[in-house]
Amino acid sequence: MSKITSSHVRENVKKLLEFSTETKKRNFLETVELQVGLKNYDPQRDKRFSGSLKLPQVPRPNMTICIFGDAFDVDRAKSIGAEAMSVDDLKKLNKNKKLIKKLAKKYNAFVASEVLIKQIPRLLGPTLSKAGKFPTPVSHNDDLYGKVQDVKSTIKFQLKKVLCLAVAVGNVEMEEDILVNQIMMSANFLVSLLKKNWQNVGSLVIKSTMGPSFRIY
Amino acid sequence: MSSKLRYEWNSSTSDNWILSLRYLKHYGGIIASSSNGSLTAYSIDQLSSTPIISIPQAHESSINALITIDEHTVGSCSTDGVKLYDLRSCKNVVTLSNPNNSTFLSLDYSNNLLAGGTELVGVDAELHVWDVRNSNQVVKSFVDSHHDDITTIQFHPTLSQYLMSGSTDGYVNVYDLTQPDEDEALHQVINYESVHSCYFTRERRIGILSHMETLSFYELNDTNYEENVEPEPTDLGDVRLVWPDCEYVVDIRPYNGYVAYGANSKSKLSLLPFNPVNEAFDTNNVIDFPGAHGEEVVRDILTIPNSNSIVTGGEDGIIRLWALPVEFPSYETGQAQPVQLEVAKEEKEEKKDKKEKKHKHKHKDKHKHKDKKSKRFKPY
Repeated sequence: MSKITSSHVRENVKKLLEFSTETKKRNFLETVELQVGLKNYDPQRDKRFSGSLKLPQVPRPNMTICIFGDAFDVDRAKSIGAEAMSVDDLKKLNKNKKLIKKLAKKYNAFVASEVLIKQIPRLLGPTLSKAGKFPTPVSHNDDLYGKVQDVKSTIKFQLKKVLCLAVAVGNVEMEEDILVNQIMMSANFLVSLLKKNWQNVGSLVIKSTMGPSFRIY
Repeated sequence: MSSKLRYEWNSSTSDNWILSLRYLKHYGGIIASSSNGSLTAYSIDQLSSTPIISIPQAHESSINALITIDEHTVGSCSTDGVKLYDLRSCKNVVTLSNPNNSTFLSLDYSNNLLAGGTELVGVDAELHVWDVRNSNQVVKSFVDSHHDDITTIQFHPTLSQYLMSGSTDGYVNVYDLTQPDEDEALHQVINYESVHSCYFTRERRIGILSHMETLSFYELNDTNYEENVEPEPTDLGDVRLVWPDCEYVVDIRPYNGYVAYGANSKSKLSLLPFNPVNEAFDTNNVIDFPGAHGEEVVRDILTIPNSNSIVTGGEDGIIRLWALPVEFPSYETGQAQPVQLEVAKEEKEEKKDKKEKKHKHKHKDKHKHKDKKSKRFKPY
């Protein structure tokens, strides 16, 4: 049984959006974050609270993605206006760590043809993994655009030594309905992974990058 | 079908959690590691509340992993590094760490090689391998292949050149230990989800359980890297939606033929038969553990070999011994041959290998091999 109601969340989303779009509008697109304050959770001995969640709508639209493709996928990438690199392009990097690091810094994430995944560690070594950017596979049967959107819509969450977790759930230019839905989805999903569910939650707060916090639980 | 509770052991201190359980064949018992840093062993052959071995201050804080090395040696790790304990003296015989003194989260042992994985410190999450016969220096280090806490490590049970690690960064890496440096050694990367545990469920299959209670099976790649083959992972997704009364998974035990999962809100623990050969789960024959560990999370489950007994340990600080109503098939694989870490020594080792094949048992004692000539005349 969820302890937050969509009407209560909606009330706060309204206030949050009002602040960021009217009261004090910034000249960059503010992200909306859900901050979960945990209680009765011991980061040293409790089971890990870590994973990712795919949201219906991309929270941060400005993510840059590059596709490592075989001939088929390089073509597909071009047709959706995405940047792509072929196996030959990757071979040209010659496993040079500096160049690969530069490549890793240039993009937020990578997608690679499923058939190439086997070769990626041989072509590029561990440098991409170290940067946390090993590619997500896409098969010829998958919709490439859809897969890219999936990657952009997936938010990672992890609780480490502190008892507060923050995840990006949207941005201030999203419609109220969608924002409310994404907040509810995220909150309910995260809580489902806690062993005592709502009893492990001390507070739930939504906040835009530069705006004030609004407590929803 | 239900198991029957046969015995239980309580923690001597309050608010102590049982985190790992391992079988001690030589002692006919089990050893448990706890959140209060203690290692305690109890006899199964002769049930008693008195421990047969007690090391109350094995570590300064919660023990993250526990493994058996040989008859009398166990390895455990925590914020104070990796420690090898001799069970006869209860003394710490070796302490291993890395230059950063990072917290070690995971361990595995096979054929004289001990591997340990650390948590992320700055930008480094490291995996080190030591030879226990000469633990002064590491024999292998993989420091660039993960960018977050290394939560699990597994040596391949039969193909001894492979070592696997899983991390909260979502990657499962397979390393080829015969390669001289890390760049060459990274054989395969599976980009999955924050990893709770991963196993070689079959010679060329890898099962991965995530922290989000999702389960997937992947193929272990061959070395024909340029061959464009579409791999076929089998993804069960969120198993809480697939298996009855599942709120969290304790672990998958491919060699013992089951997966154990629980539901705290219902004080339930279930054992679901699993066949690693066809990757089938038999939801019609789930075994229940009445009472489980109450509302507390079960952290480990251990099959006692050659018996129908099973042991569970939980966050209630209790260890419970149960009698299963049915026997489970064993999918244990044979012992792997020791891996050749140094390419130069290969030819010398080849001859030694042929002799080692005669040994059907694991070397529990740290005995040195007598010279080759005398071994030739020993009976099979």
